[in-house]
Amino acid sequence: MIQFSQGNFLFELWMSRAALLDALSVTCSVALGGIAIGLVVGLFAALAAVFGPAWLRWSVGIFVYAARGVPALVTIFFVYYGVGVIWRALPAQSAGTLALGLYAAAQMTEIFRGALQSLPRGQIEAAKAIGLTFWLRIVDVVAPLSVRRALPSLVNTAVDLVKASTLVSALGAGDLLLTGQQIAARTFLIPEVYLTLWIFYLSINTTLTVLGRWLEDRFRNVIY
Amino acid sequence: MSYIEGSCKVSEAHQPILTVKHLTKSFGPKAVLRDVSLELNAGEVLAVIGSSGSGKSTLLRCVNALEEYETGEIRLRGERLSYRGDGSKRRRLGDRQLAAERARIGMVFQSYNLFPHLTAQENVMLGLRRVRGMSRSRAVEVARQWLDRVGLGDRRTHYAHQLSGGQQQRVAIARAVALEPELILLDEVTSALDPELVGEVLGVIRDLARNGMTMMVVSHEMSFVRDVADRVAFMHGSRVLEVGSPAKIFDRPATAQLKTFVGRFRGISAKLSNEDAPAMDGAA
Repeated sequence: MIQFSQGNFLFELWMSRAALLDALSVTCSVALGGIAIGLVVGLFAALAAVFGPAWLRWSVGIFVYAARGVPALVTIFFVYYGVGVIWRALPAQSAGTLALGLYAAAQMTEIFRGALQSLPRGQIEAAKAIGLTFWLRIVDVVAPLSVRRALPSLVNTAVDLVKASTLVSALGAGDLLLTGQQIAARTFLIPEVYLTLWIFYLSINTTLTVLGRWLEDRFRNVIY
Repeated sequence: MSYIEGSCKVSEAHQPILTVKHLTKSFGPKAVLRDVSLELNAGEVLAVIGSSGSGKSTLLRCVNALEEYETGEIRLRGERLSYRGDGSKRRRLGDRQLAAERARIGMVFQSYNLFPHLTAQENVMLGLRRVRGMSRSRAVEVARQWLDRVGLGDRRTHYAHQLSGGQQQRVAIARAVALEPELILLDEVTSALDPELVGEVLGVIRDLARNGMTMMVVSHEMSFVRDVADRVAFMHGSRVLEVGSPAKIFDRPATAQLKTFVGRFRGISAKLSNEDAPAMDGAA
């Protein structure tokens, strides 16, 4: 008979429940924080890259070039250790969130820029013709149309970011991966623990994908 | 009655809504408008005809500040549009000022350009809410009124992709006229339509013209132009070559270019009716 006691997987899982929930919340807040930073910075950077003056377009181009051409882990180390030396030390989780946010912002800038540039000119001219000012054209016409177009790629980047959040374990932030490693090391239930992490990550990403589908469905009338 | 009072009234009544003076524009080395001058009076329908590439659409787009131009000026009720200053001090107005000017001029495009994320009614309401600052309920009321007027009272909640080309274009017309512009520009509004849908759109425009809407119409529908326009301008090679009543333009063209242009349309309609006849016989 399998006993519900030390060395048994379900028992160990139950004993680690608090640690795992904490870890889940760290992973979610790092990933969602990074996605949120990426969406906001990405949208405005893309608007600047498409509608802004030359110096802004150049600045955005350099930012995207720099942030995409470097491994996310290097950016994470730079923000954690580098900023610590230059300015002041940030907590591991904040530094990780910020670094992943910059990484996501670069990806999302390119996604939004593509969506903005592929908008049919006619819709924007129609918005001008009824007398909308620049920001009203953005809010009422450009943003709804380009978000719809960008949505599938944005969901991809969000899913990537959940996976990339494992990198913060290198800073010792107690995310799912680091916590899982510690449980595995303590209990030697190695396949079981990593399978559990697998299920955790898959659930988070399934939720994101379903959310994306739901949003796409909400925008189903936006056909052009 | 004093002489001065009388003359004031006369000059006010004769002030054109739109004045285009010596307009010049080029795309790189290619001139698209050369010294174009036109006037448009209140309640008048001015049709602009000419072969493609003659500058008709560009002229319309300049009036609504969708294009920039190098020299010349456009005035709406005497107020200069799009630019201030002259020579090296000439500069284009900022976004807000351009938007305010565009709000006074309606425009309908060849490709309808309805906002695809909004219903027919919301398309009409957007400008009413954001530009005219109407309350939601008032905007709904006005939008419904105009959709009824263009015969789409039962299509209010439809999206662009659920409407036929002719219906989309009628929504676009409602969207433009609901803002009560001082002038409306129609840029080849039936050119993208299937032949059987042209009539419903022309019917709406005819109705607006009859009710005194001032319009500048670029069109290839010659029988419609002849029927609706008060004056016709013929453009050729980026210039306005002739302006006159439809009868003068179509029946007594002065220039060789207009003679050829009018003749070509006669040729096409004659050819069409010749080709149609045997096909109809065959079907019967």
